[in-house]
Amino acid sequence: MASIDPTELSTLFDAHAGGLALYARQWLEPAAAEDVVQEVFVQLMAQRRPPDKVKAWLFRSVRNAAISELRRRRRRQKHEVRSTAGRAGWFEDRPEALIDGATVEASLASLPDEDREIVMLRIWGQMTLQEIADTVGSSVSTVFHHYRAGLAAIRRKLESSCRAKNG
Amino acid sequence: MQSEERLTPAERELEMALAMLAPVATIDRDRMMFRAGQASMRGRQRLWHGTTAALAVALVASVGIRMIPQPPAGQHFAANPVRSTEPGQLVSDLGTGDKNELEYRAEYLSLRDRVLIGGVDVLPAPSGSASASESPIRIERLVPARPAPKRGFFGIEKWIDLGAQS
Repeated sequence: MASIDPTELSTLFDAHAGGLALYARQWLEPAAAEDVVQEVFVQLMAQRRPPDKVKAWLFRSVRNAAISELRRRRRRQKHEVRSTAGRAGWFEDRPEALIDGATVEASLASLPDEDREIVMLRIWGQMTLQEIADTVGSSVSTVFHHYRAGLAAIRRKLESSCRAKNG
Repeated sequence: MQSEERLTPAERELEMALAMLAPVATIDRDRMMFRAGQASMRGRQRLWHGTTAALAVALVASVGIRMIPQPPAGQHFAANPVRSTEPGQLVSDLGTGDKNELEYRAEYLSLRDRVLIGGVDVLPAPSGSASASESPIRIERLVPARPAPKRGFFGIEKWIDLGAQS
C-alpha cells in the first residue's frame, strides 16, 4: 500500500530534489549524488506509513545514504584523487544571481565539513535550526555557531575573490 | 526562532543572495517516478501473494477433508429400543412411558456395544418359547429391506412390496 500519493511525491521532488542533490554533493560526485537522491525518493514511496516530517526524513536519508556510499567508495580506492576537471557546477548560471555560483561553490568546498553541511541545509534545504539539529544530531546552539562561522567564511572568500578580480 | 533573529543584517543579506542560487539537478524525474511506483507495487504484491497462498492452503485442506472416506449410508438405528414379540415384525415403540423403558435402554446400549465389537453373530437367537417380558431387544431397520425379486412376464423382475403381501 503506497503511503505517499504520486502527486504528492512529484510535488516533493520538485521542491527538494535540487537541494537534496546539492546536499549529497558534499560527499559524492554529481552522478553518484543524484543516484542517492533518486533512491531516497523511491524508498519514500515504499514506506508503509509516511514519515511525520517528510523534508527532514529526506535530508536525513540522503545524508546517511551519501555517507555510506562514500565509505564504500573509499574502501574500494585507497587514495582518492579529487579532480575538478570536467565536473559539472553545483549551481545554475542565472543572470539575476547577485553572486557568482562558481565562487560560492569553491568557498563551500573549502569550508569544514560541519559548517558546509549546516549552511547547505539552512539555505538550500530551507530547514529550521531545530530541524538541522535533529538531522545532524547536534544542539541548536552548536548548529547556529557553525552556521555563522560558515557564512563568515563564505563572505571572506567572496570578498577576496572580488578584490582579486578588481585588483 | 531566537537564533535566526540574532543574525546581523550583513549575514541576512548574504543569506538571501546565496538563496538566489539554484542548485543544479539533472535527476531523471520520469525514471524516478517509475521506480517509485514499482517500489510501492512490491508491497501490494506481497499482500496478494500471501492471500493467494493462504487461500490455496485452505482449498487443499478442504479437498483433503472431503476425500476422507465416510461411513456407509443407509443404515439407521432407532434412538429408542424397539420391542418386538415376533421376529421379522416391525414394531414401533415411540416411548409409551413404560416403567421398564430405562431397563430396555440399558440393555439396548449393552447389546449395541457387543454387536459393534463382535458383529451380528453375537445377537441372541430368537426363541419361540420366550415370553413377552423376556423378549430380546431387536434392532429393526427403519428402512425396510428389499425383498427378493420375483420373475414376472418375459423374465422381467418384479419387486414385491412388503405392504402388498396378504
